[in-house]
Amino acid sequence: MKKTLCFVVAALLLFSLTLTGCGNEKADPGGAEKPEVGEDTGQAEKPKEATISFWYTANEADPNDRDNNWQVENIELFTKANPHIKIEKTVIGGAGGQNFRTKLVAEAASGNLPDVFMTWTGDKLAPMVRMGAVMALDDVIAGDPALKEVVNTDNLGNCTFDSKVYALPDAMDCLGVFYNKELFEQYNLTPPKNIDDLIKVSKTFKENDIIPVALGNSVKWVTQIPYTYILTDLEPALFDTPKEELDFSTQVFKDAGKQLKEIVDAGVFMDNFNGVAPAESRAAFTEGKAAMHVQGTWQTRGVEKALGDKAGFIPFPTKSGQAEYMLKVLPKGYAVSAETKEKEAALAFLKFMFTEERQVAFAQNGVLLPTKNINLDAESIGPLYSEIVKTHGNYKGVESVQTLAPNVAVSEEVKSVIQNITTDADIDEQFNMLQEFNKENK
Amino acid sequence: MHKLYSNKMMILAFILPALILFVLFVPIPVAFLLGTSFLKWDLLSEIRFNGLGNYIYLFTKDTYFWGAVKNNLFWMVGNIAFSIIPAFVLAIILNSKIKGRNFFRTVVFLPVALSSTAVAMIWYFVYHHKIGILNQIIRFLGFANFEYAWLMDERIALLCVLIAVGWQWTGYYMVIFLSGLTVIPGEVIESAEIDGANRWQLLKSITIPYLKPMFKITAILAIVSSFKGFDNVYVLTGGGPNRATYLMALHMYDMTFNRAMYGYGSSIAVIITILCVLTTLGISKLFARDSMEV
Repeated sequence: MKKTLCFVVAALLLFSLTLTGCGNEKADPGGAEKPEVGEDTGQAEKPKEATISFWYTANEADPNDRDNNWQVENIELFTKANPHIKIEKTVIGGAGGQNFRTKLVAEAASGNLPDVFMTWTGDKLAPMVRMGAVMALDDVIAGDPALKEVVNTDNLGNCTFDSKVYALPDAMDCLGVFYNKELFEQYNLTPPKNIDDLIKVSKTFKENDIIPVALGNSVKWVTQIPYTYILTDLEPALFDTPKEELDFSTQVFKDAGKQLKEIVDAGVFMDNFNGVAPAESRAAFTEGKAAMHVQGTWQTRGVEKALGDKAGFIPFPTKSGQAEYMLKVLPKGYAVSAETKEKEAALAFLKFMFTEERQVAFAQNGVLLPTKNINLDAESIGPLYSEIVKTHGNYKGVESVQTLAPNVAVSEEVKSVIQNITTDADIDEQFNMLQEFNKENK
Repeated sequence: MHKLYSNKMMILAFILPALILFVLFVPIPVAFLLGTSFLKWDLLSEIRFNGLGNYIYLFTKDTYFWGAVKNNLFWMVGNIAFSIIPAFVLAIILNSKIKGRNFFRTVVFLPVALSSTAVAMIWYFVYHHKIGILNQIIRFLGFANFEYAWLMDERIALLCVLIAVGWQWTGYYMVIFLSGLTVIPGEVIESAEIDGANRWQLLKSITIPYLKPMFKITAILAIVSSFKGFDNVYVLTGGGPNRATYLMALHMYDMTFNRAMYGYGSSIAVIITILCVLTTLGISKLFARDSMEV
């Protein structure tokens, strides 16, 4: 009898614990189904209400964050014009966008991508496209004359898979060298066109206690900038090679590495540059302690604020000095989930971001637009930005060397190897190992 | 009541909720991790079985892994040098009847209550080459233009991070030693003193042997935490410069999340787990043998 009593007590205890621990997912008192956009509810005059989720990465705490400022305004203006559409935004910052990327991949894997989302293009977008999580936008572009007018098909390469477009790039950025015109004038120097010039001007700056080139490579990818320019100078056709045929152990990669090492050994870059954060190298440049600064044009606004029209932008010098190419990247874009239940509302918001008015606003935040047919007023976009807009058109575009990699695992290894070769690592061995990694992880 | 507690069904009923949670959050994820370590998987693409491929690559070709192992070994020794030794010395000092010892104990213990990220941020501003306190002290001492980027110098970056970690955990180990010191019988010390033992003899022949279990616990904790070292390094240096502070856990993170190599990252996690378990067993065995010899 006592045994039975014990068992009953124990069972009751367990049952009560289970009850306290579990919620009832299905019980939703307010769970009446909302009408879908486009569904007939009998009130034809009233637009259907819709709520879309929208994710992007930005630093909300930074008042100069160009993406955040633009998106906050986009959401405000869009919801004002479309009061029936509610946008639930999620901003994930930190770790150079890594936190956002990890979260996005997890959501894609579980089939819960937000309706509209910012995404890295190229190898990072490819797996999500392959699993069918992202909506193809070809019909959307073709079906909307206003959108078709601004979308620049030349810039859709990284968003296109199997001839279909899956994202619209948000910004184009050039990677190269910001330089301080005033410092160059002060020492009667001209911006370097080739590596010999670069080493010569660096010597002069060093003699005058000025850092020749500020470069913050703690993030590993920045040394790709000089490396890609050197590689392009040696063999531009390399960038047309199909990814599956590419062999990183070929001599041209090693030769480019050796040229980069020569520049490093000549003391052109700031001390301990592999431990310096990009923000610190920018500070050295904007404070006038460095004559040049290797980075991307997303820093245009910050540089312009500090140096005004004293700053200029050039491609990284190469051995031949024939600057035909400029490193241009379109790393991020906006996409729509293939599983969205609010397709019309999601696409309406996407299209809104790419209206001429919103593109002009984005450009005013210091962004090089990947779109076309946008009329920009030179005065409102600032002197450095205007100079970059004018000059980048004179160069053919080339993507960074990491885009040659077939996937994100290999592209990260490319970055690591280019960082390694700026140290005492054996250059030939590094590229042989990279190729082995490439073969193993294709 | 006694009979109630000896009833097997009752015991089962009481331990079952905890057991279910334990199984859900420990053995099952570990088994999943082990399984994943044999795969090639980026979460999104098709899963490919890779057999022992991840482990073979890890041990034979992955130079970053071996660099990280070397750093981890240095980290382990440094952890003992910068955490356990100061903790032991401070415990001895703060166990004596000095004025304000409770205040000093609290001060030493305080960093333990902070999150590792907060500690890392504090030390970031200690080492910062422009506004860091360390450089400012050196400037104050007469080297007016001194500006040294401590965390950017690959020769000393790991040492700098270790000092920060030591500062954080010394208080924790000190409390363990203090708890050990309180159980040393007063009469043993008294009789040794009557026999004419000096302070060094007391420390060597009474205090240290009595504290052996504490040394064992602190050694296990310090060594196991060395294998898991991640947060402070991630915030302070991110593993750089030039991988000078790159540890196994950072390698695991890099492979898993930056490169989306979930299978390969799992194989590193499995190795870290095995190392932690083996080290714990090894230290336990070592101390058990020593205890028998005493």
